Amino acid sequence: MTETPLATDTLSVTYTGDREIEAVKGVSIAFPANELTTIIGPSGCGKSTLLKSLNRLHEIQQNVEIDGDVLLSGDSVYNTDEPAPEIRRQIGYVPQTPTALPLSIYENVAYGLRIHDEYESKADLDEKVETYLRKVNLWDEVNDRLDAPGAELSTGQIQRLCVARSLAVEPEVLLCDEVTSALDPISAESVEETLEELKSEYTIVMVTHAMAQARRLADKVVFLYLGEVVEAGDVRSFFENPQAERTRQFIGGPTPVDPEPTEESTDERESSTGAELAASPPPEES
Amino acid sequence: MDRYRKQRLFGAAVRAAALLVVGVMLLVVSVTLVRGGRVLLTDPTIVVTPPGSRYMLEGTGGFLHAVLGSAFIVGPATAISMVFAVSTATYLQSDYSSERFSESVNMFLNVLWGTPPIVYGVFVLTIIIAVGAQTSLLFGIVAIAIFQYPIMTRYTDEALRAAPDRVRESTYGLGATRFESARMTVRAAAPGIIAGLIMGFARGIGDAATVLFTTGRSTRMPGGLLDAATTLPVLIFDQAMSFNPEVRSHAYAASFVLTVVVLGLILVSKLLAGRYARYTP
Repeated sequence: MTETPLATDTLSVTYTGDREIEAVKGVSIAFPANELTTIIGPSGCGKSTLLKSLNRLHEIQQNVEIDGDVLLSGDSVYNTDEPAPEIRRQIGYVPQTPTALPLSIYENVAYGLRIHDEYESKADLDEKVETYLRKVNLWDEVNDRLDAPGAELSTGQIQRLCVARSLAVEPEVLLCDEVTSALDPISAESVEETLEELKSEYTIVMVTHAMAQARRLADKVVFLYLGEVVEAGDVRSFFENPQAERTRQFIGGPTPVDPEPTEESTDERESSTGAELAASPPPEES
Repeated sequence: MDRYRKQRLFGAAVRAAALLVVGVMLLVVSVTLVRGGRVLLTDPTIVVTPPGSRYMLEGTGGFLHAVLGSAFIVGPATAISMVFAVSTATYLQSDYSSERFSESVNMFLNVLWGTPPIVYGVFVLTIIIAVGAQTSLLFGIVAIAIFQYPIMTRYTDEALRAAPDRVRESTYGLGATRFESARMTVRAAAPGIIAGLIMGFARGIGDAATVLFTTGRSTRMPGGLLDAATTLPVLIFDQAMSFNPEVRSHAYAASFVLTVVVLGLILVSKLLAGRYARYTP
C-alpha cells in the first residue's frame, strides 16, 4: 500500500449565507500517492467545494464554515499554525477557467517561484521556467515569445500554462477543477495528455463531470452525490462493477434527479465539451 | 405607426441629439483653440515667461506662474489621491471588507463625487483659518487631492470589481498572500485604474472652485510650498473679467494650453490602457 499524501477526515463544508447549505457532508477519503483520483458527480453536488476545501481555497470566499479536517502527509491542514498560503503552496490548484495572470508567459510560470523566493539566480529561474513549460508540453510552442502576454495564448495553451505555473512551486498534490471543461476537444486532449504524463510524478485530484474523461485518466474514482461519497474505488471496478444503485444509475444512464442547488453551482458551468464527453460512449479500455 | 417608421423616427432623433452635442462641443473647443491658438502663434513665449509686475493690468510678461502652479498643485495632489484611492478601493474588495460595508462606503463616495468643488474649497479654507495659516500651494494640493479622491476611488473600485475573480483565485491557489493577490488584481485592473488616474488628473487640473480661495490667486511666481500661487483655471477666471483685451486674450491662450494638456493626457491614458489590456485575461 502506498503512502497517502492527502486524506480527508469527516470533512464538512457549510455555506452560511442567506440560506444555510451543507455542500460537503462528513467526507472521509484518502487520495493515493502518484495516482490520479477523479471526483465525479452531477453539477452542484459539492465537487468543487470539496476540492477547494482541500487546500483551504474556499476561505477566500465569505460565509463558509468547515468541520472535520484534511491531512497532508499526516499533518492537519486546518488545525495548524501554518499560514494558509503555505498550505496552498504544497497543494496546488488549477482553476476551471484557463486564466493567465496579467503578466508575460515567462512571468506567469515564474510568479509562484518569485513569491515563494524559490530560485537562486536569474539563470536558475530561467531553467525552472523552461523545465515546467516542457513538463506541460508548452515549451516548443512558446519558447520564441516568452515575453508575450500570457493572455494572448489560446485557451488550451493557457490551461497548460496554468498547470506549469502550479507545478513550478513544487506542490505535493495538484488539484484540478474541471480543467478541460472550458476547452475545445483538441485543446482538452492536449491538457489530458499532459495530466496523463504528470500522474506518475504527482498526486492529482481532479474534478470532472465528464465520465469518459474519468475512465481515460483516473486511477481512482470518487462519486459524490449531494455532498456525500456514494462510492469510491478503483477506476476499473468502479465502472465495471459499481456497488451502489445510484452509481449504476449515474454512470449508466442519464443524470439522476437534479440535486438541491448549492452556492457552488453558480460557478460550475456546464460546457458543451463536458457534456459531449460525458455523453459520448466510453472508449475501449486498453 | 408601423414598426419600421417608428424605428426610423427613433434613429433620426438619436442621430440629431448626437449631432447637436458633438456640434456644440466642437464649437466650444474650436473657438478656444482658434482664439487661443492665434494668441499663442503671435507670441508663444507667454507660456514660459514669468508675469511682469503689472501682468493682470497690462498683460506684460506671460503666465508661467499659473502653468507651474497647476503642475505643482495637481501633480502631487494626483499622486497622493491615487495612493489613497487604490488603498481604499482594495480595502473595499471582498478580501478585506464585507459587501454591506463597501456598499455604504461607495454610496458615500458617490455623494462626495457629486459634491460641488466649491464646498471642498470652503472646507479647506476653514482649516486654513482654524490653523491660522495662509493660502498657499500646499493647501491647493490638499483641496485638489480631496476633490480627486472620490472620483479616483470610484473608478478604481469599479476597475477592481471588473477584474476577473479568477485572477484572485489563481494567485491564492499558488500560495499568494492577501497582499500579493491584491497586487495582482490591481495589475489585472490596470487599464481601468489608469483611466481613473487620468480622469482624476483632468478633473483636478481643470477645476477652479477648489483652488479659488485656497491657493491665494497670486500673480507672481510660486516660490515654495507655503507661498501663494495660482492655477490655470483661476488665472482664466481672473483674466476673462479684465477690461484690457490684451489680458483677456491671455485667457484664451491659457484655455488652449489647458485643453491641449487634457487632450494629450487622455490620449496617453488610451495608449497605456491599451498596452496593459493585452495582458488582461
